[in-house]
Amino acid sequence: MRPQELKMLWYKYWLETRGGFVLAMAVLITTAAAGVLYFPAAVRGGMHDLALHHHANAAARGFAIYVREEVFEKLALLWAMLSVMLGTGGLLKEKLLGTAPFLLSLPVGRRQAIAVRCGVSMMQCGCLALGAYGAVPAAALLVGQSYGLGLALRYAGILLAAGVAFVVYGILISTAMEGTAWPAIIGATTVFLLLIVPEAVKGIVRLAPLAVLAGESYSHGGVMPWAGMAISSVAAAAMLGLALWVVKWQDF
Amino acid sequence: MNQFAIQTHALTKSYGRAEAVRSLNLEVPDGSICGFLGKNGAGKSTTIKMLLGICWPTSGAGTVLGASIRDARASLEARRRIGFVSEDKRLYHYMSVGQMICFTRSFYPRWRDALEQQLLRQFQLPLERKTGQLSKGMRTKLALLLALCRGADLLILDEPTEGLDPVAVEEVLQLLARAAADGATIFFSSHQIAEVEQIADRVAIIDDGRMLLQESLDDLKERYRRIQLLFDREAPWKPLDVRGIAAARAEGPAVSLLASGNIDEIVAAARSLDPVSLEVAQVNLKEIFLECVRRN
Repeated sequence: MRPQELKMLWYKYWLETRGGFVLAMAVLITTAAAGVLYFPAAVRGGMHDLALHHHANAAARGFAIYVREEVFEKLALLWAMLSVMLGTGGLLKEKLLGTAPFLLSLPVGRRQAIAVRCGVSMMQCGCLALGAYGAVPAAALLVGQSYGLGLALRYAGILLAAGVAFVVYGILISTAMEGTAWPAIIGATTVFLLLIVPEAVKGIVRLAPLAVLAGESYSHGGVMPWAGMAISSVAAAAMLGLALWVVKWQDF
Repeated sequence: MNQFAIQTHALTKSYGRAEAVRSLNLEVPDGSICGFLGKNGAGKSTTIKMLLGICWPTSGAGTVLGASIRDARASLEARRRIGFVSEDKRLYHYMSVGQMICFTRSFYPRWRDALEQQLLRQFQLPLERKTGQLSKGMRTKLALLLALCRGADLLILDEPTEGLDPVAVEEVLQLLARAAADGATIFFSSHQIAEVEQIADRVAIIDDGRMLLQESLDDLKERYRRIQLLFDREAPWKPLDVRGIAAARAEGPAVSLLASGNIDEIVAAARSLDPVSLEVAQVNLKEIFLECVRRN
């Protein structure tokens, strides 16, 4: 594929997904800012009942812990769900919309189309992570606290590296499942369950994917979640390979 | 150099138990304008999709511009030399006309800028308007522009005049004739038999997934004849046992025969029935098409 062709395919997928991307960015930044701005109220709440209110409990242990446990965990959950939703689309959706024959009549391979789509999704999800986590230090100033931008971006990096599988999961699910909205809904729901259910099971919380995404091990002693990131990368590669294999044999 | 721009052998496409295309042998010579006729659901669009690698054949083989349709890489390279208009002419609703042109142009180094400007004026396409806001006719015009400007050696067009007014249809037919004169091969499906008759030099008729006929239009018209017999009594109706009678119909004292060849023998046999008059007339493509489809 020539650079000009690659650029235009990239441009097409960007135009196709930019609305969803902007919406996702708005949701994440709003969540990040709201979470931080709630900190003073959480501190006040902690004086009444530390045991009942999780966020009050976290707030009592300091702003940094509150941010990681209350803000980053929510952001990680939302980011993973939104990443899957952003990743859905692609050729089966184009088939339903009637544009697949046009795209496939161009000198564009199916696998090239999927690969570029995946690249655009990863770039967008990277921006979402940086944007959302980057909003935390800015919002912290509004409540008289400080949070290092470098530290926030390190957590964003962990989220992206450990969550790359979710981005590719969106690509895979929309390659295997026909529909305009269903792949996104089902994808986001399965990710929600995958991240929330282990949180509720005592004993595996530390190993739960959400804890990995939110960088829990990094906050407890600066240990990068290498295993989680490696598993995510391998899973992403496997799912991308499967998506590329599936699309090769599909009719549009 | 391959003699045929498109050639298929026993090409078959099944969806479960249903066979959309059955053992299709299609040949479109280089430089020809071939009309692809068939009823709705006859298998035209499925055939076209297989030719372009949009769907995979269940069995059989085919080449387009010398590239095997089963070889994804070769098919991709061939598509650099193919212009295509799809059946429903849907384009990216989030792109403007200008963006669609810019996007498509990037894939074709032989893009014809002068023709693009001419067609933009001729079709009065608004560059800034989103394609989702275009009428069906305008969408068809844009799809045609995107196909014709590719500088393609082969144009595969699935009902290219659908949704166009008669003036636009005439313009499009002239554009296609000009593209053929410039050396392009044109393979187009249509329900408008008069259009096919106007510009095609070759016809392929498909029904229920089977190729019923493919031939040069001139040969076809030379071969087929309508033979009208008039009697001074109730027509002595009995089937003539002569090779070449494609259809026969009797109404009162009149009998109409459609012959697909062997005209002299049929005429001689008809004369033996002692009609008061016997006329042999040329037939048009519509009659031939209807007869082929009815017989199938």
